[in-house]
Parts: sequence; structure tokens; C-alpha cells
Amino acid sequence: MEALLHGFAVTLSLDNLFYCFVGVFLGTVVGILPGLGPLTTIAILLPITFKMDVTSAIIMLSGIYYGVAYGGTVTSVLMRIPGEASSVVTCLDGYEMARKGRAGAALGIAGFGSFFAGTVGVIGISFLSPPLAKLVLAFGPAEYAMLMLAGLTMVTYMSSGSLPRALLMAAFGLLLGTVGSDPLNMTPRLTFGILALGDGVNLVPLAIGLFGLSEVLFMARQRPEDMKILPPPSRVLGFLPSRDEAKRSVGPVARGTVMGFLVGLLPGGGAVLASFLSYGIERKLSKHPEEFGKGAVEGVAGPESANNAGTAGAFVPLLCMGIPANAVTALLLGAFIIHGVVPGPTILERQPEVFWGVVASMYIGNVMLLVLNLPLIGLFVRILEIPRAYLTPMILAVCLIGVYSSSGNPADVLIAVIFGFVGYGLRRYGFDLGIVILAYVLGPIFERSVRQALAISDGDPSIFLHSYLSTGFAIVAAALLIAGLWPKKKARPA
Amino acid sequence: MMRRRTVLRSGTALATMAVAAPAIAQSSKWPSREISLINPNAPGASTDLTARIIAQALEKRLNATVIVKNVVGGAGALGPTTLAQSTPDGHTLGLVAISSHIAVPNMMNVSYEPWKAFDIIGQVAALRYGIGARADGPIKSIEELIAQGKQKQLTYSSNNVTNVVAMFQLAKLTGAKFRWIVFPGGVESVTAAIGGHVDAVIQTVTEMRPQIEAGKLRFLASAAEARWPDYPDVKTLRELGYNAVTNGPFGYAFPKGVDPAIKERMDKALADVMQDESVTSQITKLGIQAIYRNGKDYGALLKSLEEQLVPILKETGMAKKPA
Repeated sequence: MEALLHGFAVTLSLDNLFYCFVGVFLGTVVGILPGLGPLTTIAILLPITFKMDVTSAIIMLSGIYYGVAYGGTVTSVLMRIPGEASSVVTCLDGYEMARKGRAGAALGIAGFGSFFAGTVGVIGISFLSPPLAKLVLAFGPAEYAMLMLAGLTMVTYMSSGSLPRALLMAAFGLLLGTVGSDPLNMTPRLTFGILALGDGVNLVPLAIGLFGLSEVLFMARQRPEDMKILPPPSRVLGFLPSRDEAKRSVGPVARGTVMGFLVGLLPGGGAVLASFLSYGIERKLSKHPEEFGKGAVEGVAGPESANNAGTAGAFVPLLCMGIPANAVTALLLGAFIIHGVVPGPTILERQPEVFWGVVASMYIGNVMLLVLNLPLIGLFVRILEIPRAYLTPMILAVCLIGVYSSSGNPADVLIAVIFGFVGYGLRRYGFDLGIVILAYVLGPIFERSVRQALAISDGDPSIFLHSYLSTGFAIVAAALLIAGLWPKKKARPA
Repeated sequence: MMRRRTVLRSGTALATMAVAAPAIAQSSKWPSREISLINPNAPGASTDLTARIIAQALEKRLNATVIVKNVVGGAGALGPTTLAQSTPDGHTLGLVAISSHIAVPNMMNVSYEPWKAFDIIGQVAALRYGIGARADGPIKSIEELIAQGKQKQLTYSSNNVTNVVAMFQLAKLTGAKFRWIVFPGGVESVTAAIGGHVDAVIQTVTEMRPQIEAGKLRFLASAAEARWPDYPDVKTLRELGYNAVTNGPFGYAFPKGVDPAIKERMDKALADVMQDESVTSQITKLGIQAIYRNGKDYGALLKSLEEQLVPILKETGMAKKPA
């Protein structure tokens, strides 16, 4: 506790407050812009920090990282374009809320949820880091395989339609995940000799195509009188959710926070997985699952809290073990090392001022983000007042530029366009696109882990039950599957 | 007749001049815009961080903006392919290494000829490799690793075929059985070893050091040609009596056909950058060895590594099937 106070003393210097603000501000902007992600931004800014003080540099770069999870919501809700991968699932219900005139409420809930999750996440980092970090080591290929299996059973909870249709979409997502290089011996698979597919279909063009571009096509087809987007209330406090919305959000925010933080700890897990799992859980627990996909506030509150908590969770293994959970924290690890800080169990002894300074800056950064984001919501929702004739081409441009800037690869733009048409076709016939993305994200990790585990055990499948952890996940997966397949009681008119 | 030929000739001369003129103008005006440095690895990779350090140092010497472009994809093929296809006007250079010259062309069909498509400028660094095992595990030395590998098959983690050369050589020399488990990243690979999911790991010092410092990973031997300066007591495999080495050099090249005058200026600039103490110390901090070789020597080094790697690619099933 004393150390944390010392950390606040470090952060509250004028310099560090300034860098913290620059970081979270950039993070918000980058989050809003689809395609441009934290990875690119941090990489570009890294050389500038070489001359800076270590703690200031890390405070700024971290600010970008966790600021992104705030900004990513904006375009998801307003335009159905995921600003970041971790906000893909928000497109489903956030956009539907916007169509009902509740855009401000959706963004407000996301903002409050993000703040709560971010702050609880930092508290988690402050007090639980060392024991939690040890948990990470227990995850080997077998444990991952079973965890991913449990994640994949979420498919049955995410569908609004019939199970066969959900499974069809899951199969489609899994198939997309197999495109690219074989995870073990790197043989090209399903690439049709196209170089751009050598690493598979990237998440950004896939998500922007399926969600953003397909929406542009939908808009183009509708007659103007059919397009009902109710104007959001333009009151100053228009971002405030109604009492009912707020009440329904409490549970999802709390569950999303805890689950997101735990998933965030795991390498390869992180914010994307956290947001999807939260959506699946909320749908299952909801008293009105039929509202999901049609603007259920729980479908925004849960995932948006989970992705922020996941972002915070990823700091635990990074700071305490020197193990990055994803590409962005890997880059942060590189930044630490360049500045002569070796993250790991020794950081608390050797450079406590860096550790506690960064942790304290995250408390302050989260407050800054809330203050920064809420007033802007009033401004953002005005976007919806732009006439469709102008808004649609704008969305198209944002989508395509976003895809291009994510990789700098023109082929990705073409891939996004193709998936725009695919997404349009699937949505027109009532298929769930969220399932496609979920299967696409989890499938490759599942395949790789299974094959790694079997290579280690020399083909003996009992490796999947060799630890309590993997056995536990296997049981959870089986239970989820049975519960999901259990015939639902017919809803009776109340 | 005569006249027409003269006309033709003067036409040719004109044409030659027209071609030559921009070339002259090119070298005197170069660099006329920003220079891109193509890196086939993602932001944050060792090669990416090194490229950003070098780019910044080159800017001062060339008086131009040098930007690092991460052309990631195609399982490592997209970067070198883009480089080979870019205009050879001195405004695009890119990373060349074992991946661009040996691994990628032997694993998949690429549109460039690795030994013909580039004008190599020079080597800037070498990744340093080491073999480690879980600190509280049963393997406490290379000898024990080999002895146990003779009794039963051991597993080790690594994320790239370039890394594992020393382990394959070690297995061949001693008859021990080691099975490579492929991980998607270097840090994941080290984590699997300290978590006890595999018996050993071979990765770079950058990826291993945090865990060695923390006392979680036992550093068994340097797999590089020399000992690691930060761990002077740990011997190399060669010093331990096994002729096994993993090399990880990387450097930069232009696409073939850059004006020799421009190439010479770039060669000089890079050589000068590599003399700069502040540059080499930043690279060293990453756990990478800053080594400069000129284009010719670096090309020869890469060529000499080809015969080590190709058999491993075949053995692991990674080599492409002959068409």
C-alpha cells in the first residue's frame, strides 16, 4: 500500500500526468479509428520515447494500450464498424441500440462499464499480481486445448436461431481459421497460391467486411422510409442510460469484469476472447435472451467491461513474469527492455518505482478516460443525424481506409470487400455472424494446442486429462454442451 | 540510307541519354523523398526494434526520413517479395536474413530468386541463441540433457526453424532423441519450458533473459559462436565439445539494380551507423549482438548457412514438395 502511494507520487508529477494524458488521448483516437491499432501506434512512437525517462515512457505507451478499449466502442455502436477487434461483438447489440435511438445510452454504459472494469482491473494488478502470475505457468498446450474447447461450446449459446444454423456458421468460422500456414510444419493450406493468404485471413478485414461493409450494402438496398434510426436525445446528459438500462447492466458489468480479467491473464486470450465469452454468458443468463441481437443493453455492458478488464489483466503476466499475453504487450515488453527495465519477478525489488508508477498511472488514466469520453459522446451521436446519402459513403471510406491501414496490404481491402458481400448474404438469410468470428478466433488456437499436446505425449490423448486444470476445463466444456443442447422450455406468454 | 542510320543512331544515343540522365539526376538528388525500410516481422519483434534504432540513425546521415514499414504476412514471404518487386531507386530497402534467402524460398513458392533479386547492403546484427531448461526440473546441464535424451525422447520448444539448427546438430552428434514442439512465439516457447510442459527450450537471449534473471530458467549453454557477454560463465556448445551452432544474422538490402553511386552512399551510411556507439549499445540492450559485415561478406555468410538448414527443413516436413 505504501508502495502504491509512492507510485502515485511518481505519477502525479506534472511530466508524468502529461504523458499519461497524451497516452490515453492517443489511445482513444486510435480506438475510434478502425484498422489503426495500438500495435502500429506504439511501434511508431517507440523511437520518440528513447530519450524520455523510463517511467514516463512506459506510462505513455501503456496509456495508449488501455485507452484503445474505450475508443473502440464508438464506431461499433454508431456505424457497425468494429473500431478494434475487441469491440466486434459490440456491433451486434450496440448498433441495434443506436437504431432505437439509444446510441448515447449504449456509449454511456460502455464508458461506465469500461471505467469500472478498468479500475477493478488495476486494483487486481495492485494486490493480486504475484499469485495470479503463477497461474499462467500452469497453462500448457493441453490446458489451452481444453479451455478453447470450452470456449467453442459458447457457440450454442450465441445463436438466436436454430442449432444446425449455428453449427453451420461455426463450421464456416473454423474453416476460415484454417486458411494460412499449418501451425506446426508451416505448409500453406487453402491459400490457392495467393501470397496474401499465407498467414491466413486477417481478423481486421474479416470483421470489418462481415459487419461494416455488409451494413453499407444493407443501407444501399433499403428505401429511405424503411430506415429507422431514431435520433438520439441531444440533451447534455443524453449519454445517461435510463433507470431500467442501468439496472440491467449491473450484473453484466460485474461478471464481465471478473471474467475479462481472468481471461486477460492468459497468453493468447486477451480482450477479444473476453468480450465474446462475456456476450455468450450474458445471453445465457439473460431473462430475455430473445432481445439479444436486437439491442439488448446487456450485450453491450458485459463485453465492453470484459475487454477493458482483459486489457488490464494482460498487465499481470507482463509486469510480474515478463510474459506478454498478446502482440501489443509483447511490444510493451520490448519497450521495457530498451529502456533497461527487465519485467519479471525481480521488477518489484529492482525497479519498484517503475512498477508502481505505471500501476498508479493506470488509476489516473482510467479517470482521465472517463472524463475525456463522456462529454464526447454527445458529439459522437450527432454522426447519426447526418443524412444517409452522406453517411453511407463515409462509412464505406472509413471501412476501406481502416482495413488498408491495418496491414498496408491492398489484398486485405479486397478480402474485406469479399466478406462484405458474404456477410450481406448471410445476414439476409438470418445467420449469426458473431459465431463466425468466435469460431475463427478460437479454432486455430484449439488446433495448434491439440497438436502440440499430442506431439508432446507422442500421440497419447490422455494428456488432455493429465492435470486438474485441463480436466476441469474438459468437464466445463462437456457441461456447457449438454446444457446448451438441452431442449429449452417453450416461452409462455406472460 | 546513311542518313537514316545516323538518325537511328542519334535516336539510340538520345534514348541512352534519356535513360542515363535520370540515373545521374537520381544519384545526385537521392534521397529525394522518404526512404522505406521493409521489415517482414511485426512491430515489437527484435528485428523491428533494431530497424527502428537503425532508421533513426540513418536519418541524420542521409538527411531524409527513414520509415520502418512492417510488411507482415505470407508466413514471412510478403516482406522479401515486396522488397524484390519494389522500384530500385534507392528509396526502398528491406531486411534480408535466413528467412528471406533460405527458409522461405525452400518452404513455399516465391516469385523472387533469393540469390539474384537483391543488392545486399550489409549485416547489422545477429540474434544470440541459448538452450535452457526449467530451473527446478531434473535437467541441470547439457550433459544431463543428452544423457536423458538417449534414454527417452525429450521435447523442447522453439518458434522458428532458424532457431533449432543447434538442437538438430546436437541430436545427430550424440544420438539423443529430441522432439521439437513448435510454438507461435518466442515468449510462449520459453513460458512452456518454465511451466514444465516441455523439457527444454532454444530461443534468443532477449526472450530467455527475464526468466533466467528471475531464477525460473536454467541457462544450460550458449548456442551461439561465442558466450553471451551478460553470462560469461555459461559455455558455448562448442566449448562443451559439441560442434553445434545456431546462427541468426540479419541485415539489409536494396532490390537489384540500384544505381551504384546510391548503393555506395548507403553502404557508407550503414557502415558509419554501425560505428556509432549509441546505436550499437541500444541494439546490445535488446540482447542482440551488433555486428557489421559489408554486403559481400554478409551474402557469403548467408550462402554458407544454406547447406545446414535445407536438410532440417526436409526432415521436419517443412520443405516444399518438389513441383
